[in-house]
Amino acid sequence: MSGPAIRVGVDLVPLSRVRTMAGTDGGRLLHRMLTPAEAELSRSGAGWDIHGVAGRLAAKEAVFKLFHVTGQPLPWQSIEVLKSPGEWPCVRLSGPARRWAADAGIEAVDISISHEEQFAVAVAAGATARPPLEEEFHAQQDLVQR
Amino acid sequence: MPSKTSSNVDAVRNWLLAKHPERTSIAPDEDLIGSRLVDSLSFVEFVLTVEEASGVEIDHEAIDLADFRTLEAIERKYF
Repeated sequence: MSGPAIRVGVDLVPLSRVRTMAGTDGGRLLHRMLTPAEAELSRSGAGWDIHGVAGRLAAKEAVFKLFHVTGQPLPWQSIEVLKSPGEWPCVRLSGPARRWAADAGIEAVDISISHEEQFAVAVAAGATARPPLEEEFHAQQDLVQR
Repeated sequence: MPSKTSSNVDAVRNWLLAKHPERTSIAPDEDLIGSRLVDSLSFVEFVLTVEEASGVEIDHEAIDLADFRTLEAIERKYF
């Protein structure tokens, strides 16, 4: 097998859980999960933007799923979900997330986020220049054939 | 002291039970992550709970999930 491969991650976050976290100890947990830049984007005059936070947390988890690492918790602070100049969400990796992406051969990551009344959902896609492992390729072929 | 250790691990167990009122007990060897008693969203708060109960400062960037997978693993590592 040769050629590039893609990886996809998805996650769903209930807004009710974000509301609970926002209302606990002045949002202490959210400050652990969001970088200062993300917290700045996730707050308005009225307090936390619950939809924005939920979408951001879902996107972090979706990106984490691209790395296929095991035995490690989600490194919330090293996957940043920010805004591009066109207001589209974009991802900045640092620390362990950057290292795992490099280990996986992931050269580019894109995300998409959507919200509705009760949930936020995010999808992440990663492009690698590296061919998939043989067993991953067979799994992908199997899905295509179904 | 064994009695103090047991009491502190109970604080972690009680936190889990409060989050999951449908549960009445958690075995020491139950996989907390596999059974979804702890998920990614609750993990940060869970680690803070272990920190407060044990008095041990935990480096969140250097966590091995194996140390948090069961109550007995937590007790072994942090109490």
